[in-house]
Amino acid sequence: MGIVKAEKLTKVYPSGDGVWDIDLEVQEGQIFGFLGANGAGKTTTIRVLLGLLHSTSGKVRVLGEDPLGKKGIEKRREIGYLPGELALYEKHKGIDLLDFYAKSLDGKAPYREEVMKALSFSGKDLNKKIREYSRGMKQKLGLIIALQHKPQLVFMDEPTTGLDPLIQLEVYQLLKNYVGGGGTVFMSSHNLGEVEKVCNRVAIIRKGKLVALEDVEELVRRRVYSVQFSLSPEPTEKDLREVGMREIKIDHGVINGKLAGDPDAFLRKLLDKGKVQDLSCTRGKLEDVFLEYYRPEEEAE
Amino acid sequence: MKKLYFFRLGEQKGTLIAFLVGLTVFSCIMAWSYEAFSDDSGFLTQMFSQFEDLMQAFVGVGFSLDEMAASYFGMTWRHPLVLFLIMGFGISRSVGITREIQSGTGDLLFTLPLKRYLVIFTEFMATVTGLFLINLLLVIAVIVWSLVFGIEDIPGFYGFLWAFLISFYLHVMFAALALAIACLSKTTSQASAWTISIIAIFYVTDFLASLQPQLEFLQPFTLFYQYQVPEALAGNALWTGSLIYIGLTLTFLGTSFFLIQRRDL
Repeated sequence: MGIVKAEKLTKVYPSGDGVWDIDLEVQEGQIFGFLGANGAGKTTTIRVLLGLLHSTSGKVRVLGEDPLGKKGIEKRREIGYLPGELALYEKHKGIDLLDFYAKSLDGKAPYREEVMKALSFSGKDLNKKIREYSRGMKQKLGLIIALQHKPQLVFMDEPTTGLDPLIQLEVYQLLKNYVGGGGTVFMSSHNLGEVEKVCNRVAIIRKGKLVALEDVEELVRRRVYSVQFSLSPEPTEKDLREVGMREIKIDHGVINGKLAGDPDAFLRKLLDKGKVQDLSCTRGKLEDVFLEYYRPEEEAE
Repeated sequence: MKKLYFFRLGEQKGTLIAFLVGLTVFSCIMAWSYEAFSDDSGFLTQMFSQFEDLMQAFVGVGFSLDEMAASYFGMTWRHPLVLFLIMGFGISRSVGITREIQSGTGDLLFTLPLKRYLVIFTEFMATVTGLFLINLLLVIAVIVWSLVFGIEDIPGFYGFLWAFLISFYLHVMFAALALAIACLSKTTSQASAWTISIIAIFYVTDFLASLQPQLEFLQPFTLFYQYQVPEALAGNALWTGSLIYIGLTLTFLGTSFFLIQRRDL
């Protein structure tokens, strides 16, 4: 059974916004990416999974328990959480806050030193009041709070917000090490590069509905390519669609377009249509795959 | 729970020091002025007689020209400044729950392995401890300054004990009311505005009802009616008032538990 499981999870706010019929399962040892644009429902889903919001309908299990049930509340000792809009008690010193959260759980913080080292967070920083911290430092402290007790599962809502690119890379490595040590990560993001770098599996949410749930490898495989070539005899747009192209533009015999799927099959079909010249094929970004899920409705609108 | 309680208690250090200074100065002024104006010139007696109705409305049930010291020192507890400060402390701590939910600090708090009602109960107990210390401070300050100024007719031990208890119960009750409203509110300002408005309406109604006999029937519902500090200082036990305040505190607390369990955070 999955370490996190949602079946037909629905949460509707009085405003009519929310998430509908979310089905997902996260296995132990995964870094699960929850991808979506702002307002798509990522945070709402995480908050239901954590028991901060009551679901309207559906079933949720985290570490095998209902997050709002008695056992589910007890299981929070084995869960870490980094909120998306992190707010900390500004009057306290960093060390006091870390100790408070550690003591409120099991009193131990076996992973603190390692996380601090990875994030270049010094003991001197810990002795400062949190109101003196920069945004990035607060985010680092949030990461330490989430991971210091070496939880079985950690929820992270856009974990690298406010961190510089070098530290972001350290965070990715840290998460990989943490998962290597038996942990599981459920992280939301709208940064596709981040998901590609760190996640094994990804769910894409759009306007409150899950539109994809698959391995990152599979998603990467389905990247869109940008192709440019000439073909003689000059093909019609219909011919090009038949070989799998989209967004076709023909300018003085030079054909530009996008290609989703296997380039090998495309090339074979293309060669059947005529003689190919000046072919260039650039691998697209993961972003294009992501946008694929967003495009159909936008076009309809 | 214990960790959260002490964490919250630690946050009150600065406020308690400010109260220590403020209440010490205030009670010093009160004790000094009693000593200075209750002498043979009879300034206080004249003032109390001339404005008897107004003084009664101000000091509350139990005001009496025969119990000059009890009535006079009753003003310390019923003075709007003291009421405002101590209530302000309780209310601001209680509506802090809404502030936590609104600002996001509640996210980490409510994902601790504690039921939600235990989280707010623990926070409330830290507030109650703060109110206990503030009220105790007020009693000690009044006693110390009365002794310093050599006031002979100061109320006795039971008088101060009941004054302390009734004041403590009143402030705890209002803190519980603020907590219940906070559990229902979306923003801190909404919670504060509702709580302060309700208390202000009660206070003004109690005051006016003391002056206007036709409004007298409203007085028992104002929650200030039972705040009979002069009665307490005169050595009378205030069982009814205490039970009403404790009962209402438990009701508001129960309502808070019910609301926090069901709301979205």
